[in-house]
Order: sequence, then structure tokens, then C-alpha cells
Amino acid sequence: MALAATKPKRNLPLFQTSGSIIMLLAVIAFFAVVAPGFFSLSNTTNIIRQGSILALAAFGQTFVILIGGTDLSIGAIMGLSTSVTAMLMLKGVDPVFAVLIALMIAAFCGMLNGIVVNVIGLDSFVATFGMWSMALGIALVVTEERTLYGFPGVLRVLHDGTVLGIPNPLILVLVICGILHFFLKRTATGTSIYAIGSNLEAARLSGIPVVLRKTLIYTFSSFMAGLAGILFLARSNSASAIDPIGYEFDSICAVVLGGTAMSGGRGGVKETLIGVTLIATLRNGMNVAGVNTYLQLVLLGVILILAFVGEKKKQSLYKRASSRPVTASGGTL
Amino acid sequence: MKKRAMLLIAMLVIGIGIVSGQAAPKPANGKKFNIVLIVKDLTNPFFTDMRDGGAAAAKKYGVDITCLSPEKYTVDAQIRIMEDMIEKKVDAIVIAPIDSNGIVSGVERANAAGIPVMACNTAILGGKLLGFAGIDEISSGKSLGEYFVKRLNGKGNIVILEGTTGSSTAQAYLNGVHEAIDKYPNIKVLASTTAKYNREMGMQVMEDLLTRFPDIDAALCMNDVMALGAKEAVQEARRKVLIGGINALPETLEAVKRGEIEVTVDASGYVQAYIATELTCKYLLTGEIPPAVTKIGIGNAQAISAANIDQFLKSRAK
Amino acid sequence: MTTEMIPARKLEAEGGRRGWATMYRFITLLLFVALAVVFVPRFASQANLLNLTRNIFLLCLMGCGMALSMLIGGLDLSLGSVGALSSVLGATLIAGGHISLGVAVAIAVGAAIGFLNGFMISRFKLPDFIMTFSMMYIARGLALTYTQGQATYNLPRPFLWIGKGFVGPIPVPVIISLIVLLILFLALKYTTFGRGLYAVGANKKAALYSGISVPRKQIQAYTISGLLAAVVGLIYVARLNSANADLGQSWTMDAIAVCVIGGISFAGGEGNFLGLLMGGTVIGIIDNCINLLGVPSRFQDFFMGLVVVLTVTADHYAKKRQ
Repeated sequence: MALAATKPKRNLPLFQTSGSIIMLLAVIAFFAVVAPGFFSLSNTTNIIRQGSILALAAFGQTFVILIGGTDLSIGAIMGLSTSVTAMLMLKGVDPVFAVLIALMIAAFCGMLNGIVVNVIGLDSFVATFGMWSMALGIALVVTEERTLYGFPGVLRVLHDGTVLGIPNPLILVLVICGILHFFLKRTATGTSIYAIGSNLEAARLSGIPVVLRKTLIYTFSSFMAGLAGILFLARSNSASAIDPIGYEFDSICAVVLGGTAMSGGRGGVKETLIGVTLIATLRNGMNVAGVNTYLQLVLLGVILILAFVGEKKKQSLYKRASSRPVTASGGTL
Repeated sequence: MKKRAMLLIAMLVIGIGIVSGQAAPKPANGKKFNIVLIVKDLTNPFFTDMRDGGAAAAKKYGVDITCLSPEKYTVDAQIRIMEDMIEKKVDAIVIAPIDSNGIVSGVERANAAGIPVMACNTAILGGKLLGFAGIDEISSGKSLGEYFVKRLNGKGNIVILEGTTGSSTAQAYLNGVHEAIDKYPNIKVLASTTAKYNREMGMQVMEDLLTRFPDIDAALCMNDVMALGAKEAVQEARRKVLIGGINALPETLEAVKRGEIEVTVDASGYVQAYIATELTCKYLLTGEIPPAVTKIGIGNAQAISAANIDQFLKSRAK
Repeated sequence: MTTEMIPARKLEAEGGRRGWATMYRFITLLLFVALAVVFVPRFASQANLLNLTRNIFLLCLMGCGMALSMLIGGLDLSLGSVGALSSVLGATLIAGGHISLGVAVAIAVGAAIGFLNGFMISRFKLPDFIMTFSMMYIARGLALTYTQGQATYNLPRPFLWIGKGFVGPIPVPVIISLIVLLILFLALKYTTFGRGLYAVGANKKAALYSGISVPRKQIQAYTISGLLAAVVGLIYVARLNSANADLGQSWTMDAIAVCVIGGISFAGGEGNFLGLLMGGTVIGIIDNCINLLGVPSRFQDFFMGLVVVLTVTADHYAKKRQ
């Protein structure tokens, strides 16, 4: 840890995330006191279930933001994946196959995003905005603007089931987070993503297949959105094309809240998980505390701003600290 | 050092949590009952009326009530509220679901936690329910349809502005309207399209319908809010189109008096919520199980037009 | 954003590029119109053209505020909510008979919130996205709290003129929109304010070095954006004859679509208001045709997305050829 301060852009995980963690702890403490029933095992399980969908979507978004882009199509892809799976199951397709097909379609959309952004060269905002519109349109047509229901409830276990008492979504999220984290920080391909995000030209010059990797990242992001859509389906056992809309913005919020910068090159999935937890805890806490619906919106916005400002302040402090020479034991001169 | 500080804070938080958890009042005999009313959307006066109706009933029975609505007009957001209320350990949930099928998984969760669920206004097609209290939508739709059949003397072109697809009330109103008008082949439905129970959309849809069809005699809207939007479009285009709505909102009644809207059907949100809440309170207090379906016929789905509005308003004073 | 310096030569070429993009947009637009007149029944009827024109200009007005924030490389997601909040606040006064006061209050509130957005973004270096996203929630929540879900209706006739009135054959909203578009177009082309906006959008560091105050430009852009959101809000309230807290839910995405099709880049520094006008026209025509053909509204989203991608791609290749 001592040498960390002298290496540019090397992550000091704890310092980096402590801003949001402190906010999270503060929020938990607050609601624990104010809202009876909040600080309990069953409510924590509740929060985990509610936040798991956002977590999956936000993991994909993390990758895109790490390379300096933004994926606005996530909510619509979720809706598309949900709708397609439901429709296929209603037509008698085996649930597992239905899920696989939906995931493939989602990944395909992501690949299109990736090609448009990296091969054709459009701005990621614009390309994914276009995809958002088109995916939403297709999903609405597939469902004919209704909520689909009446298909086998086999998938519900993904959301409602437990293994040894641990809720399935939690296992899903933690396992995926672990894999992604390992990938990002310990494999060559993973760390190259940070390189691409910090300095595209340098990455390209050092032989990294930039276009391929960036395209794959967009594919991955939509794939995760597809997965999130499946979990969404499992949760309500019904499919609506428009219900997941909004997750794209929430996912971006969660990622940036966690500490990954929108300019790219810094952050990771662990940080995103903190951001997701904060948002999910906040929403749940306000409901359990009986906060007026209207006020909830205001509070959400205010706390988001506070969290970001705090995060920024901490980052600038970090920058200042890391620019000072550091001794071997980690102290500053 | 930073690590240790964080560990201390975390332990502090957990400590506070455990202590607070013990201090939380547990629902028991002799304590006040706590229920929640979940509506679809608090920007439609119909649902603020519901909130008031629920509050009045709860007050009468000495029960605490909270009224919540989702931040997004989606059934998933309503499920989220239900889950959180289950954690809050409310004694009962009264809900007007946005989608009759989509809400079922939320109901099942409440069932698993042993919390009774009362459906209000819109039917719920699954799960175990304490009961359903709502108006007879089909007869409301029928009332509207029959009024126009009479008014148009059995002959004319109409357009229908539907509610949100997926809502059982929207479908039921529509079925009711068709029950009334299908018998008359000279009443032609030029178009039947959704305006999602929204005023802005009601106006836009009506605008386009007016352009597509130069000869429309009446516009039947499945709720007042869309009717109010449609009326603006009709007035602006300076066309003569009779407009009908459902809900009898105060704003609509005023418009009926002024002749801007032809008719509206009484479907009071206040009364629906009042009765649903009343039945729920009674169940909590006395164990009396309400009937599976309670159809409310206030004024028997009366069509209110300029002709009978004054007497209706007088009878409404409650 | 890369840190290359922008030589004066390049900025001039930019202007040329813009001219080319505008021209071929215009041609595509004429094509659209021709197709619509031929294939869509009642498209060319007087009543329809009137509605169409009104809708186009309302879309453009929505796009104006968004365009300003996009030009400096940002995004204003709070557009709809600010429109709702400012108009419900103003509506109470208007309903009570104090029309000018109500309008002034609405506009002031919109500008104030916009100012707050710009201030927070420049002062705390928050990503535009995050700040306006949070503000979107805050403004909507405040609007709902203020109205408690009730609508304010039966507004005085003189006020309704803003939304429903005509000056000669032209609807008032069109005139308001035209004036705003003209002012912004001229300001962007000929004033230091305009050039400063482009500079900040194109390259923040370079702009700083050439003495432009980036924070000030951000604050200006967002304040005007908020102000325009309030104007759009008032016009809608006048058209609906009712002020409601859930106004403007779809404005943000619509405005983004108008800007993007109009050639305004998310990265900043590119695009002009003539293009915006054409973007609004394209979307207005597509929406109108879909409705007139009786195609269910759910198809609109798909076509919108397709048009966005096609337009921007075409733009991109046109630029590459330069």
C-alpha cells in the first residue's frame, strides 16, 4: 500500500470507496433509529432482493463507464429481455431455452451498440439512445403494450429462492461481482480496460486490440442488462416492456456514486456494489419509515447530490494527498 | 488507520440497529392497528379522493393509515412498496393495482407473511385476497354507452379513448360500453385507442382523431382525466363533438354544468376506498370476513349530464 | 475528452461542415414531406398542418434548452420536472387572476433552478448528468408536494391565449418558439456568448486558456435551459387549461431526440439552431404520420430510434468525407 500513492491511477480500494460507505452507514443508522422494522434480517434480505436487479444492470454499466462511454439502452434491453422470455414461454418454449434466446438477443443488441460506437464511430450516448428507442419499441410490439402473464413460474426461484438460507439473488450478485472483480483487477485483459479508459491512444499503441475489446464491452453490458431483465421477470412473474425503463439512469447513478468516474479509467464493480446498496437502502428505508411519497423524491435527489459532492471532495483530497511524496511506510513527508 | 475507523463506525451502526430493533413496538392486542393504502398515482384527483376516503374510514375505526403511491406508474414499483410494507409489519394492505396480473406476485408475498390484502377499484387476478371492493365497472361503461345511444338516437360515429392496457378496469369499462352499443349497428366505432388515463395524451390523441375523421359525433373516454384533455382538443378545433367521461371529478362536473362535457358517470374513488378500508378495519377488529366481491353501486352508476346534475350534486353532499 | 488544441483553421472548417450538414438535412426533410403528402391521408389538410406546425415548434422549444446544455458538453435531464414545478407554482397566481405575476414567477423559478443546476455543476464539478438527474427528482417531488396531486384548472381566458391563441393565422406557441429560436440562433452565431459556448463545448481546457470562464458559461447555459423549460410548461398549461404536477414526463427524451436528429452532438461544441428546427420537424412529421395512419403508438419508439441512428450515422459519414 505504501507504493500506491506514487503510481498514478492505482486504486486504493478502501480510501476510494469510503465516501459512499460512510454515507451508507449513516443512512442505515438513521433508518434503524427512525423506522421500526428496518434493521432486521428479513428487511435486509428484502433490500438485497430489491437491489439485485440494479446490481446486475450496474455491473454491465460499470464496464462501459470504465472505458469512458455511457450505455443508455440498459432499461430498454431489460424490457426486451423480459418481454421476449415471457412471450417465448407463453408459446410453450422451455424456460431455459427462452432465457438463453433472450440473453442472446440482448447480447446481440449490445454488439450492435459496440459496432456503431467503435467501428462507425458514433458517440456512445447517441448510439445507445437510439438503441434504447428501438429496443423499447420492439418490446412494446412483442407485448402489445400489455403485461404478459400466465407462463410457468419456474424462473421465480431465481428471485424468491434460497440456498442454505441465503437468498438466491445475493448469491448471484456476489458470485458475478467476484468473477468480474477478479477479471478486472487480476487478468491482463481486465486491466487493459483501465488502460483503454485512461488513455486510448497509449493503449492502442501498446498493442491492445482496442476496437475489439470496446465492442465486447458493449456486448457484455447489454448481456448483463438481459440478465437483469430475467431477474426482473422472476421477481414479478409478469412481463411489461416499460416497467424496467429508468434503470439506465439508476445504473449510471449507482456506478458514479460508487466512485467510478464518468471519464473512465478508474473504479470497478466493488465500488458499484456500494452505490447500488446505497440507493436500494435509501429507497427501502424511506418506505419503511413511512416517508410521504412526494417527499421521497425530493430526499432521493438531495441525498444523491450530497453523496456526489462528498465523493468529489474526497477525490480531490485524495489527489492532493497522492501528489505528495510518500515514505515507504505510507506516511507523508 | 482508516480501516479501524470504518470498523468502529460499522460496529456502532450495527449496535444502534440492534438496540432500535428491540425497542420497536410490536403489534399486539390493545395496540393500534396500522394499515396501508396503495393507490396507482397521486396526480389524478380520483386517487387523492381515494386517499381521503381511506383516511376517513380508518379514522372512524381508530386505525392508523398511510397512503402511498409509486414514484413510477409501474406495477413493479407497487410490488416494491408492498414488500417494504411487509417489512414494516403493517396489519393489512388495501391496494388499487396498476395491473391486475402483475401485482399477483406482490400479493403472494404478503400472503406468505400473513398480511391480509384487500383489492380496491381494480381487480386482482391471483393470490389470496381478503376481498374486493369496487364499483361495477361494466355497468359504469354500460351507463356511458347507453347514454350516448339515447343521445345520438341510435345512430352516429364515435371514437373511444381507452385506459391503460393491462388494467382490468380499463377492459371492464370497455366491455360495458360495448355491451351497450354493440346492439346498435348504426353506431359506428371509428377508432378505439389508448390515451393511458393521461390528460396530455388525451388531448393529443383526440387532436389526431379529429384530423383523421372529419365526422365524429361523440368521444367516449374511459376516465375523466382523458375526457378533460379531449375537450380542450375539441374546443380548439372548433368541432362539435359530444364528450363523455367516467369518474365524476369536481372539475368534470363543472364542465358538465358549462356544457363543455356532455356526461360523466359516477364512480367515486372516495367511496370505493372508504368501503374497502371499512371492510378491512372491520376484519382486523372483529374478524368479520368480508364477501369476496363487494360491488358498490352509488347512485347505480349514474350518468350525470346537464339534465340531472343539480340533483346529483345535492345528493352527493356527504 | 482529448486535450488537443483547436487551431483557428479547424474552427472555420467546422462552420463549413455545419453548413453542409444543414443542407442535406433540408433535402431529406423535403423528401419526408413529399412522401407524407402522397401517402398519408389528410396529411396536407389545413387542420392537420396547423396541428403539425404547432407540435413541431413546441418540440423545438423543448429542444432549445436541452441544446444549450448539450452544446457545452452537458445534459439537462431535469427539463420536464422544472417545467412542471414552475408552471404549477405560477398557475396558482394565474388562476387567481394575476396573470403577469404568475408568468413572471414561473419563469423566475425555472431560471432559478437552472441557475442552481449550473452552479452546482461548475462549483463542485459534479457530472452534469448526476446533478440534473437529482434535480429531476427534487423538482418533481416539490411540484407534487405543492399541488398534493390536485390540478389547478379553469384558468382565465387571457392566459389561455398563450397556448391556444392566434396572431393572424399563426398559433401563439409557434410565434413564441420562433422568437426564441431566432434569438438563440443569432446569439450563437454572432455574439461572444455564443462563441464562448461552442468553445467550452469543443474543448474545456482550450477555452480556459483563451480566457473564457467555463463556470460562467455553464451557469448561463443551464439558467436559460431552466427558463425555457418554464416557458414550455406555461404553454402546455395554457393548452391543457390545467396545471398538474405530472407534466412533462416525456420531455427529456423527446428533447434529446430533437437535438440529436438536429445535429447537436453530445460531446459538445457542435450543432446550431437551424438544425434543431429541422430535427423538430422530422420528429413532428413522423409522429403525425404514425397517428394519421392509425399505427399504434407503440411503433413510434422504434421508428424514432431508427431515425436517430440513421441521421447521426449519415452525419458522421458526411463529416468524414470533408
